[in-house]
Amino acid sequence: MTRPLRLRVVLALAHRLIALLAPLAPSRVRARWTEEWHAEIDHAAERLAERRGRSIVLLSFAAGAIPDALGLRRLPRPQVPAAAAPRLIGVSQDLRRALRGLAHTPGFTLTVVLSLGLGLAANTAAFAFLSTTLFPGLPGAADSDRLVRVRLESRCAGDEQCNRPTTFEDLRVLRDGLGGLSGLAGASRTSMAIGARGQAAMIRGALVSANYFEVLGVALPLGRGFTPEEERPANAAVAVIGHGMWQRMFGGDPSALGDFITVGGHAVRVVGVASSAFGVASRWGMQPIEVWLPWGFAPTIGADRPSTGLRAGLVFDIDAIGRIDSSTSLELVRAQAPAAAARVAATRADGTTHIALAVTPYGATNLPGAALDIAGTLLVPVIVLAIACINAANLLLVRGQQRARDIAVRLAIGASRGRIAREVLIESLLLALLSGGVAVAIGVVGIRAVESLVPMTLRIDGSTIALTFVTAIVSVIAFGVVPALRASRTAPGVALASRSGTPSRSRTRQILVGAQVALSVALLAVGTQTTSAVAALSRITGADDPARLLIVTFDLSQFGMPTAAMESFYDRVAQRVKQLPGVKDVGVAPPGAVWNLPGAGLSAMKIWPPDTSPGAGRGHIGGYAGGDLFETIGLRLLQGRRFEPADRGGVPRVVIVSRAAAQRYFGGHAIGRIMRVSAIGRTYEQGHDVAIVGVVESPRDPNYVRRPNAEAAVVFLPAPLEPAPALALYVRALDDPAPLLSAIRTQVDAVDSRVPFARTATLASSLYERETEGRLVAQALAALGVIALVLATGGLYGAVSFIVSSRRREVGVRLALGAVPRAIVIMMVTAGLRPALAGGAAGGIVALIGSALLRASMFGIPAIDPVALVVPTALLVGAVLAASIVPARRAARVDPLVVLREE
Amino acid sequence: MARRDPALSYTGLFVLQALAQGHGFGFDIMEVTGLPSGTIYPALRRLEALELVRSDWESGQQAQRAGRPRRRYYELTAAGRRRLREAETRYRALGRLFPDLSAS
Repeated sequence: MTRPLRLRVVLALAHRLIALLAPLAPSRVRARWTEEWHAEIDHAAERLAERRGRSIVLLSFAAGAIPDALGLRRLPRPQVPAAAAPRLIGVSQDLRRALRGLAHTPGFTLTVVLSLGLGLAANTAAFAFLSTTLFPGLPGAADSDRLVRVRLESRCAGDEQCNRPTTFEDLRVLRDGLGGLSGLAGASRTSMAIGARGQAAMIRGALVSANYFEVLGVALPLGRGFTPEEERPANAAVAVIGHGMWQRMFGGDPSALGDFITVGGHAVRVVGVASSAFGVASRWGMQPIEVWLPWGFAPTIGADRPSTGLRAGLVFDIDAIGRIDSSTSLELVRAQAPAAAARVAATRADGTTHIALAVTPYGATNLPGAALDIAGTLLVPVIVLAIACINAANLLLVRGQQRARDIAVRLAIGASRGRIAREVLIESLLLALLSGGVAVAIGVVGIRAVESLVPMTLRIDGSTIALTFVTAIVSVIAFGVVPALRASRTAPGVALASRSGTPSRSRTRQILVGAQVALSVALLAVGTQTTSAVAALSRITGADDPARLLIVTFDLSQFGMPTAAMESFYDRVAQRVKQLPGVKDVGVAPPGAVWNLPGAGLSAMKIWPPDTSPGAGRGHIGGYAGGDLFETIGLRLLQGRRFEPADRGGVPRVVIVSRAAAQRYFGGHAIGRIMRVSAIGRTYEQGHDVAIVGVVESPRDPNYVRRPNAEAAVVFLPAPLEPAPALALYVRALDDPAPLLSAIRTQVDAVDSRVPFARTATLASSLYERETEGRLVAQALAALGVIALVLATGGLYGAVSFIVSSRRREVGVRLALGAVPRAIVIMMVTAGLRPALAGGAAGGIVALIGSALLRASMFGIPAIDPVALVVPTALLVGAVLAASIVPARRAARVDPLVVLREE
Repeated sequence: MARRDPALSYTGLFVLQALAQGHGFGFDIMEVTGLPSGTIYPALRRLEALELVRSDWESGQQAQRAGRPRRRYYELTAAGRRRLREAETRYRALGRLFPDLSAS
């Protein structure tokens, strides 16, 4: 059909208009819109062909496209059904794919899981340790989460924290005055001299309120608890004994109920036996509590007087425990605390200006206060975890690179980045879960091993396991997913074009490898040095053969003896023991006068060196030195004389000082000089002037003497400054002292069979025990260092062998250009060695700095063991050589054409 | 239907009515209603967005025979027919109220 020319021109114009307008239409409908208008214009032209003025009509018709195109933009978008459902469908598919992928590369999976598992296990153990020490709870108590601790904090006039202990009187006031509690009980722990069925023993016990077992919800399997009447001193001679003591002293005999034991020599009837779960020590190094008496018994054994100074065994402070019943809450009790505190303050007449009550959940620890402990415990495990993570990151990075092409292809054919990210995430989570499982398994085994080393029950509970898995997931995401995703952001074209790791990526890997080496070398060196440092702490004593120096401690405070009787007890025991075969010398002194022994505390006195004002007296180590103490220990006399019988008894008139004390106070010329001494808590006026008659060698104890040589400044007295119930017998044995113990016991029985040994140990074993915690930390450090070394070696091997094999193409090019195979091998090995050596050097420097700090702060620390630096570095260098030489030689042997054609 | 329908304009009603009578193409509707193309086409788009109208393309063979691109045709949806019935009821009332107008 032919059209007139004018119509053709108009038609072309109309079509042209549509083409011009097309960009106005939204892109999603543009094609349809254009097609529709073109068709409509053609149709219109046909229909209008016979009409007059058709050109105008046609053009105005076409002009309708203008409002149409503009109007389209204002229309609501068509609603697309949400795509949420299909997005989830792929998860199980991804999971299967991830599992398949991991199973296809068992080497990779195993290495990552084992590395992370080892690294995490260190943290699991640390978590378990923290959870046990920070939240000890109250073993054996019912519903212990409803128990609260009530603590009095008092401040005295003069803004000095007067630290007055909570007394049973305070507790009595609180018991009636603090609402919201269904009960408030108190316990004061103290060591007790127990006699039962012909045996004597020092046993850790507690003086408690009558409602103690009731408030704690402790059921006694045998007998009963206490009645309110038994809080009165007249009725208080009753006891509940612990399961352990019942087994040891009564052989588990039920007739123990109603039997009598002695406490400090006073007869006490057994009315109940506690279960084995109750009373167990919540912290290691503490003895379990095995005997409970009503607090009314306190005056009988002298436990109602606050202890002055550092007397052994008598700890006077009350642990007040309340129970919140179901009708109240912690907040409600706290709201009543100020009023109750005011009531307590009203009963005090000692210048207490401020008194406050703190009510806290019983098991809770003051977390901010424990932050340093937590950080200290977690520091090294976290470093080990970091090493493991670097390993995993390296391996994941390598895997990511191998996969980059695969990912690029999938991105290019339309896979969404989110989908790929999800796949990486699922694979990483799988790895994290596997590693977490391995960590918990290793942790359980490891903790059993630790428990065999120290008397401590660690538990791996739900929160520990949860924390392990959270750590695993966080580590994997931080070290695995993030880098993988960054890698996937590369444009597909670039990833497809590049064939192996770019130089910058290898630099990251080299730095990671170096960091790993540095960390493990430093950790191992510091760990071994700390181990020897801890050993040094217990080895340096200034005494002759510490293994043959037996120290037997007694505590007479509960027997109500007059001073003369106590002095006579120690004199007679010392004389009798000295007659025993196998005993060379015997001395008597407070247990903490010479060394800082466990379970004793330091023995202190107050001294005023010459030219000191009465207000400037200072606390000082020292105390009574009876018998032949200096010969027994092996402290040789350097100047002057020893104590003579005339010096003994009554008020001290003379003293003997250690060389360190003579140096410090008298410039080395001490003989004949005068100073003033008094008991702790006394004034200048109450003290005595004493003349120095002798100077002996200093005992040494790097544990508390932070001076060069660790020489302790000690002042020895010929007689106690005040009644001294708790003293120790120092016995120098000619041979093994262990068989002497029963002979000594016989001699003590001959003097007073009621008096038990409080502690018996040689100096060597005492100091060894004292350093248990430090030794554990040092050994843990060294063990973690070994783990770190294993991890680093494995990681290094993997990383280096990957670097070498990924440079095959480069090697091919070099060979094609005429390089000698030998040069290629050297080049590859050097490239692997560089980060290992740099890391080893950095780690060595860190270790040397740490060692210098350690040596500066403590005497007797041996220099860093060069072996501890050289061996790990050599091992790591060996790993690099092993990892690089074989693939390097293989690479150098290949036909360059084969390599180049591989692509 | 939970959604409250927007009021139908006169134009909308005319277009629906034209479609009901079988005028499926934009140009035809324009001719029947006498409204300009700049009114008809935007109205069709609006009605389509409201799902009162749906569109499709005539078959390719038909277009080929006529020697032009495929034309797009419109038809009422079920909802569109319902709306038209409701409107008719209202407009019949209009007729009763203004008998003179409807007579002319």
